Amino acid sequence: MTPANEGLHAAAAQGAADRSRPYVRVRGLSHEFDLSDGVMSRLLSGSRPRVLRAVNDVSFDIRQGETFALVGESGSGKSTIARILAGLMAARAGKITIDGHAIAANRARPAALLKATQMVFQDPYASLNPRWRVERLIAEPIRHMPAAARTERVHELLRLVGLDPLDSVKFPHQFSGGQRQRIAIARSLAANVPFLVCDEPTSALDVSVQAQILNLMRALQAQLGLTYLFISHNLAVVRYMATNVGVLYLGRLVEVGPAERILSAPRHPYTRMLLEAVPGTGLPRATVQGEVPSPITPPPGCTFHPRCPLAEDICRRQIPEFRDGVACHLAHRAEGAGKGP
Amino acid sequence: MSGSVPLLDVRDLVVEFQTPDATLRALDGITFSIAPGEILGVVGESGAGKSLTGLAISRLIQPPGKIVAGEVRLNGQRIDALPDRAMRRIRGKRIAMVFQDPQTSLDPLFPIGDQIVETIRAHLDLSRRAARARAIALLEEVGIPSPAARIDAYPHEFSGGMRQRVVIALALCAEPELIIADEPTTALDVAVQAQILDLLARLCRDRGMAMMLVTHDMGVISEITQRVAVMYAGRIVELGATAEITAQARHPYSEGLMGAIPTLEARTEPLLQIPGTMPRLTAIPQGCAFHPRCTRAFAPCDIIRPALRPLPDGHAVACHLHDPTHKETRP
Repeated sequence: MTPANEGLHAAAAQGAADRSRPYVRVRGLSHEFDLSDGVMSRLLSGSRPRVLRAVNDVSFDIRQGETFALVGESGSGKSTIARILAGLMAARAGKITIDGHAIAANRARPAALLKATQMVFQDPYASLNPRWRVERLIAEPIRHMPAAARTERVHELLRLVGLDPLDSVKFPHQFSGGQRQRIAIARSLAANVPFLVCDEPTSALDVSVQAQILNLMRALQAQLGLTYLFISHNLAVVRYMATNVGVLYLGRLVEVGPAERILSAPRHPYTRMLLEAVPGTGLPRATVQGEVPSPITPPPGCTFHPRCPLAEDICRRQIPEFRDGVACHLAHRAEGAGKGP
Repeated sequence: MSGSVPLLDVRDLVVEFQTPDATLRALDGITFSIAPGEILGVVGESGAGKSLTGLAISRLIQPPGKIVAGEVRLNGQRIDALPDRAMRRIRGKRIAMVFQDPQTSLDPLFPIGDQIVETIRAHLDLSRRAARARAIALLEEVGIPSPAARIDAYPHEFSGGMRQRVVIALALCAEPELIIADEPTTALDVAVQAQILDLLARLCRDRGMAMMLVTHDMGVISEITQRVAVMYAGRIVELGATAEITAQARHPYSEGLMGAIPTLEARTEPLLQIPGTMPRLTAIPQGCAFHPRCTRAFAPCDIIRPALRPLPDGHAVACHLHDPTHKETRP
């Protein structure tokens, strides 16, 4: 073990002592975006306020050292949740607890969140300042450390993510996409924060480079006891990375459970549809119609019913409650009757 | 590919870009063919030259890029040296293109119907009314609900998936024999991607149309293609039946590529990792372009460039490991 990583290891050991308590706990997280016209033009044209509910009463837990993946199509709210958890924006409502510290999610840029989480972004071309050298980029979260210790720590981190300490004097444009993502990961580890929010960290990369980054992230997790919130639309990547999976549809969680179960025996028809849509698996496809409806005017009842091949009358009228890991009238009924869906 | 004349026949195609400093060879000796009604996948990572191959065939390469050698034949007729005017009658009529981003293929200022009617009338001798009826039929065929009502809508009034359907309808206007589809589903959500792939496969089947499908997604390849060409640094390194390449790739690069892709199956061992990244055009290694990343490189690999050689089973691979002349020195 290197001295520079002792902080992380200490945090991991502390968490390991209390495995039963989730490391990250999210309760009733909601967020909406106001898309209304300005007050004046609303008065003049008589248009109504328009509100987009991007995240709607989302709750989940992540245990220490595990990966929780959020999956869903565009507009499902997965990136909004990532940004809220990373402290980049405030939610409208909800409570977040990280390592036992409760944080009200509705405060603008809660300082506690900024300290308790680090984020890895999708596009390593946009997330690294092109005018900064690698040392300054990686050392940004620890810029108040004494200079000598800081340089030592940067070299440590570069070795940790598979780069050369000599790279610290280079600029981002001297690196390939995969190497840049390694720099971004090194930066997120700099301040010994053991919880990373990763928003599609490999979507912008080629498959051979994606494999390098995914393997690196798994190795770092095992080595340092990191906890990940992993956002992805790629179910195969999620299968490789995640311990537990939450499936989002129009801002609501429709199914949560162990990755193995969700991706082999899904209970919600939407999860099943996502799984069948993965190309090249040879799974038979129930023909799913249409695309995600506008989140500004979501359908009544279960928001998935217009696309669901199994929809019944109740699905059109009543929003299914989230119970036993799934939000679906039919799944609840099948389980109530004592058999699987 | 049995005996008969292939629909598309590409031989030793070379494309170069002239820059002030150097001449960069972006495609180097591309040779392959597509039979009538066949779907050929072209797969590779960014910079491998897969999109450029499609652009070279349809002659859409912009200067300073230029075809400097090789032949492209469509149904036996050479099209790589045709005058631009003659090529315009082939492009859009006999060879159609579908690109990744449907937004850029449609003019935002005109209703989609106008754009389809204009394309139909550019290639077929039809009255405005007949062309409009045909446009409605095409929109129906690609799965646009109530096409007669939607034909006068503007591109922004459609969702991403519907817009890609409109682009496909546009490609079908003049009954092309070949569609070059460049990452047609990459910008779409996974559920919509499945719908578009099903649509493309159905159209090829129903119309006997051939397709060259350019993508980086092996799942998409194994879903609908019959054969696949794997590209690396401007060259085809392996060409063969899709089922064989996905199950048992012969070139170390294709093998690494297949092993690097996560699947839905349970796994405990890490993904296969190819060290390094694809070389830039300015620094393509001598010999086999893949040798600095190859774990099985041996004596000839950094000196002699391997040719794409057919194996006894019809598979073709450009690798010294599969060349009997290097049997002695092989590790």
